Amino acid sequence: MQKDIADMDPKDLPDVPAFQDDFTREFMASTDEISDGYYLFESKTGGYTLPFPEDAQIDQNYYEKVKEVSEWTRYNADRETITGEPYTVYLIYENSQKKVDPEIKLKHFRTSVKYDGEFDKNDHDDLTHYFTQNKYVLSDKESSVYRFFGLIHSNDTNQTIRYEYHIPCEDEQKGCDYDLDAIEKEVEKVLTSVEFKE
Amino acid sequence: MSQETLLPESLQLRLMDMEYSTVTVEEVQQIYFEETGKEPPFDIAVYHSEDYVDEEKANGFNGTIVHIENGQGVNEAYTIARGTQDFTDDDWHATDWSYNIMGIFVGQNKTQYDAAESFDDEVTKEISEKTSTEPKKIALGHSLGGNLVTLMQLTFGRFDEVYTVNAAPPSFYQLANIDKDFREEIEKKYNINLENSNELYNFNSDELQEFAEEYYESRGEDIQHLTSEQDIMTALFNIRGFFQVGDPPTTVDAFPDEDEDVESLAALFDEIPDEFVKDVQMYFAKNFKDTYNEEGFQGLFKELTGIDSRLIDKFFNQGEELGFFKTGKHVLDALNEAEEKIPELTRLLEGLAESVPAVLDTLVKHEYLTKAESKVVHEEYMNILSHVQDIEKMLEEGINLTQGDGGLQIMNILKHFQEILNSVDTIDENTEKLQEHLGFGVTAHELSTIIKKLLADTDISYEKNDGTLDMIMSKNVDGKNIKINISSALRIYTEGLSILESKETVLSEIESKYERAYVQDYENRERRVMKKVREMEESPYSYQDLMGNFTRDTKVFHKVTKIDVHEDIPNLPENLENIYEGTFTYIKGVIEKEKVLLTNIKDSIEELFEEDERISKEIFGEKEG
Repeated sequence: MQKDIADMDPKDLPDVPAFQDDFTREFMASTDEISDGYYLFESKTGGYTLPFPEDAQIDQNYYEKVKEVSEWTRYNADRETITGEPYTVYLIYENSQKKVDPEIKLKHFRTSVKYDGEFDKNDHDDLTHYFTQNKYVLSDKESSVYRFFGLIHSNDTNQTIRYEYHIPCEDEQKGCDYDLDAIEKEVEKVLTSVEFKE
Repeated sequence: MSQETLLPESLQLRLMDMEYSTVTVEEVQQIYFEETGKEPPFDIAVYHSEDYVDEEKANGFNGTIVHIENGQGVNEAYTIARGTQDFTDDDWHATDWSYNIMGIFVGQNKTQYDAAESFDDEVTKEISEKTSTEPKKIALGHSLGGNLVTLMQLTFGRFDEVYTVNAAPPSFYQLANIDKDFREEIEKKYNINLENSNELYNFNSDELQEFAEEYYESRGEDIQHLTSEQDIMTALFNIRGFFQVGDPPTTVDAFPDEDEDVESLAALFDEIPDEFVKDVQMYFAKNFKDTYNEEGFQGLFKELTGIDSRLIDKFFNQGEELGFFKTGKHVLDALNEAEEKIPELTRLLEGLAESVPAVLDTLVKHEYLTKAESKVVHEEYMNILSHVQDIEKMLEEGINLTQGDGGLQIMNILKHFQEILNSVDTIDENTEKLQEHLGFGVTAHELSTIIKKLLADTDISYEKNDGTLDMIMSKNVDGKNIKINISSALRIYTEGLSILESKETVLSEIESKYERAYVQDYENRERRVMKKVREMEESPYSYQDLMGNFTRDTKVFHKVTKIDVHEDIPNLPENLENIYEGTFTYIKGVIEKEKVLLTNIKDSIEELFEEDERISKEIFGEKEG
């Protein structure tokens, strides 16, 4: 794995925002595309990797990290795979010293996303994935935001990621004909490709 | 303050004060006695955040939840978020002061907020399971703690009541980072894309403030504030980004006894140009996050210049030639860092330079500086700026260590740093009155100041003891003013009683051990011997073999037909018994005397304050038995 991407001349790097933005580049683990339009993102905590869209940029002003125990990342990308709309992703990574009960994490997550419903639960090898979606209608009732969110928990270690995908719908009156299930599958595909590292 | 909660305002204030050290059930019971003169008519449970949130992850957050219930309708949970630690003492570089700067001033640092939220969620779940109903939830917070509980209320409305004291107000920069609904509302309303959070700082802050106040108005309804008029935090945060929610604050004059009215610094801060504040915020927002998060205040300070001021001291204290050899590697590392940091700092100082005269004029206008002082401060500011510019230039040109004058270059750079530190000292010397007033603001900010002003009356005052406040009662007797530390007396009484109880327990353990080891043991042995005696006397033939073996040709055969034992068992020595029994009686007497002593202390205090309503006889009386 190349480690010196941050020091490389941007001209020698892929001509996509993920590499051309100074801050985002610091998270890129390799210049090799891992799938169409995705590169490998590596957390600065060293705690996980994730496929990262080439057209996305990490918001430096939102970003926060505490040693190797937590990291808050937010990025915007221009084209969501299914809808082609711009979207925002939030990732909160945590690595606990204490044994983590994912159900308690989920309860905390519910309040922070103001969601009271159920989550679907899937097991993927050593990962447990809780996920759901809802829609936030803005107070002027003219537009809305579709939100796909969930929690990935590593059953072998005490690592978790809380994530949210926000895809806006500009015209709430007319409605946006998004294929929500397809988006959800796409999000799940990305999130279950997370690799936790100790 | 709502009257609907079971714990009165006085207790809520004292709980917040107590939270700065560790709250225990006994201490809650004690302050309840002190403030009401009664034993708490409910059970108390205490939950500490360190048992729920990893210390590292909490990033300086500390909190306690006090739950009270009686199984008959009383079910209240008080979430207390700890405020900023004292910043008058030496280690004011506590992690949470840098949080104040980072988290509140520039609206970042979600970690403490997240820790507070997850602590509250987990404990509320535990309490609800225990009592089968959701408790009434009350949040208490002083200073930074007040900011945290306010944010928690605005984003999710999790509390029935929120009570803050000298709290840092919420800022819409913080909320835009925490509350995604709010962020998306802003984006929509102003048709801006907050792809990069920096955009928010460039946006018209008056408009954002108005919008935030409107957006959070109804969620802020149950938030009540108490502030001292001179509180520095209230004054400091009456600037760009911060807004008011909830009822207008109730205010207290922290210095009613001063000859002159001590004025709030708010009027001063109000006049500081918005551009000035904005530049500072932007600079902090861009530059400090990572290091702040990892290293707290020290990192923050070093981050300004890349250089640790202690290193410069060390360098020059060693003598200039020696200095480089002793500190060489550290100096080089620091200079490498300075090369990155200094340009940003230079830009900030250059940018501020334009508004510095206006800020100084404001200080002169409000009489915090004389004209002469203002002139000196301005000169020193410009000095600092020019040194920073020089350093930037020198670092840009690079240091060539392979050439002979590399060491000289380094020394020159460090001399510039030293000049900067000297200028900082001169500014320090020329801002005495301003600093005195900042000092007033700091004192007014402290919770103990508020408690002293609010809860004290002619007979009752409060004094700091070991971090928390003790209640002191005074009374005139024969022209003399007698002061009694009630908290301490109560502690002596309750702890004294409990020590005496454990003494009694130990004594009775020794008594029963003595019984077992001597008295009962003696009786057991005697019984065993007598049993054997009876057996021998009852069946003498069983002991035939004692007579030896007899063969077929034995002429004389001895047969055991009767055994008659003449026993002589001495009594347990009398002096042994005397020693033990005597000791026990003596110790019991001592314990009794100590009890009488405690009771006498209690009686005389009660007698002294017999007519006082707050400290009635019950305060000790109900604890007896």
